[in-house]
Amino acid sequence: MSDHDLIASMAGGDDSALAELYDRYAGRVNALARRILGNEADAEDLLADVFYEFWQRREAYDAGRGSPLTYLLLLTRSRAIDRLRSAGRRPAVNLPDGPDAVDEGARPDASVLADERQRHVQTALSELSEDQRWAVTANFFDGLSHREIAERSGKPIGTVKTYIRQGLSRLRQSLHSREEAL
Amino acid sequence: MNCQERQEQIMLYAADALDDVERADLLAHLAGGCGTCHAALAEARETLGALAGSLPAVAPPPQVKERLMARIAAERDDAGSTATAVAGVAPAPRPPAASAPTDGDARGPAGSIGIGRVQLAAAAAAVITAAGVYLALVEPTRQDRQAVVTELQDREQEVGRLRSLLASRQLALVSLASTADQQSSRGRLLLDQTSGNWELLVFDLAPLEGGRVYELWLLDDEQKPYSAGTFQVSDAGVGRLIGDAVPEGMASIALAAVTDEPAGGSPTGGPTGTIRIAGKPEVVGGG
Repeated sequence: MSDHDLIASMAGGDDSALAELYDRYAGRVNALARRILGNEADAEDLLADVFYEFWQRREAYDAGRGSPLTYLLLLTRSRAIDRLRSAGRRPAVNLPDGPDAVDEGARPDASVLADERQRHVQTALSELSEDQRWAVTANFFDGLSHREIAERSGKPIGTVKTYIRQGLSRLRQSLHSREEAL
Repeated sequence: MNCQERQEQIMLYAADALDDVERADLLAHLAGGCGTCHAALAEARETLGALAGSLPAVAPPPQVKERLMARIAAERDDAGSTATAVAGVAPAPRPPAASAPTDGDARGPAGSIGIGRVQLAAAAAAVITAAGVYLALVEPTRQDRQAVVTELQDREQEVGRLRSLLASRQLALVSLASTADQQSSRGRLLLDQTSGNWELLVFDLAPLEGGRVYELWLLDDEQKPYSAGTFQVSDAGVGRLIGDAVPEGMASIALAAVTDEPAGGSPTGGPTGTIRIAGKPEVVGGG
């Protein structure tokens, strides 16, 4: 069953559809939550809250806005950063993606394309300048505002914004060209 | 700014790297339904989704799923539940109540902008205390006794409502800042995500002429604007608007903004006037 079929079922109140979507994407949502929050327990708490919110808002989900995975990941990032700001803290360390990482060989075929895309993103990130990569990472994964990045780097805010914008634009272009080549 | 120039803003917006003024400007444009910019935003989100999904998956323990499904099952059993993650599903909306407080209000909450919830509660309490002292002791003969009692009861209700909001375990706060440089206009929107009760207090907004009114807009994640009511401000620039539910059909709040509109509010269902103050919500209550 496709993601959109599952969402249609979920909108009709079928919680087994949510359970299936959870099985598909909880690993990625959890990885992002751990990366931003830097804490396993907090990440698992957020993971459950994100899927719960997804369930609550199932009737308002707009398929035209993006894939369910994109929706879940961006919701996770937003809520994770809200929590960091609410608690007035920044992640001290980021957990390594070690023993809990999903075994590549155990994944269903459906995730092969996603794995390929992961590699594309990593490659595209590596092609950014060091400043662009740092600004994008600090903003996106560490939840730092452009003002905070400017303070930490000693660079003007306008320059930081340019780094982020250029970095994300190059990332978008790289993903486009690589996916068209597939 | 034309749509071509906005393309650069859109990527920064999707990454949450715009300041409130820039965000309000862009959201006002998106609320107008610009297809080009909505498409650019969708593309930016896909890029960020790819970035977010670039980390190797980390399998959570099975207990997380068990708790999630149990929570959903419990919700089914509790039809009256309205708790949400940010602004969430709300009970049916009721008309908000607006008022232009007296200068007494300005001396209370106005001085509390930028301070924490405990201080704000203390300041709110000070309003009723000051009003009581003034009305009951300083000029008792100039006030009708019943009017004094009514005034104090009204103030007590206001303070009680504010205290109730501040005590919420699911309190969302929006600090609204001026969209023009060097303007002191500002506001605070407090929202209890559990009950749906909310209260907006604004300060240093210029009184409007010709019957024009201020209108509060709440924008959801899809940049769709919802009117939350209109209000006016006192000569001191202080205004207040309260409600007991978020607008019907609204599932989340991404931005709050105040515009000035014609008498009776926007005739189009969307903002038509200048955005005076705007801000993004943050959750300050514990879960």
